[in-house]
Amino acid sequence: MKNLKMKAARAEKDWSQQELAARVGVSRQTINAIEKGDYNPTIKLCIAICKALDRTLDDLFWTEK
Amino acid sequence: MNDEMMGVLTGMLIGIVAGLLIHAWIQRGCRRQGIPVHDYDERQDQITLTAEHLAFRVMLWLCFIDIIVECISVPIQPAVMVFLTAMIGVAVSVGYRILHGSYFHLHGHPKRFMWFIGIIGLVNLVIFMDHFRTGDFFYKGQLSFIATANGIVLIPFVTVLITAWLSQKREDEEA
Repeated sequence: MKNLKMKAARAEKDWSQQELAARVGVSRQTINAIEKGDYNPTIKLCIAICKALDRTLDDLFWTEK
Repeated sequence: MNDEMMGVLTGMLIGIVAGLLIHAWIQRGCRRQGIPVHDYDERQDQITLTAEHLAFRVMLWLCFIDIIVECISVPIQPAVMVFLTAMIGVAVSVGYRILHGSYFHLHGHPKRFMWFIGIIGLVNLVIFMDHFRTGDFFYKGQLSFIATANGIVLIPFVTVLITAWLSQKREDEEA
């Protein structure tokens, strides 16, 4: 499932995928895969992304059903 | 051991030594800059495991084919089949990793690497084409390893160049 919340949070900061990847310490393709829903990050990576985007885990990774 | 086989072994040895020296030089450069030599993220590590598993499966199936080829006495030297199996396995692993963005680590230089691969591939192509010119593909009635080795080694090189080009094209579209 696509992670549009993460994409929106990144867009708010006006960061490219490459910039977010560099801040978090992963490849651009990994950020792209997470946003497209092709990869489920570990909790460690989720926390790192949340810290970089100033969001909580619920904000970015909780899914409403 | 005849002169030609000596030449093949010497060439392989030079290639291995050159590879080790280049690896040592890259390690030294990374240590100077304070960056890890092989810095892959968690997704890249997973993709690498998948690629190696896939390559292993492909090579297992090719081993069955190698045995069949040997049993029905197709005139191919066994070394040709073994080397072909290994190179196809390498091509599958590397191609899969490049297409899924896990071959080049976080501090890698894909374009430099492509140029390097292109030059080495070209050298092998020239040597292989020379065998076409001399027409010496068969030794004692069997397809010769010496004549085909440089051609077989082109399989992973060509795979790397094609998959890297496709990957770069996708990168440019996504950027």
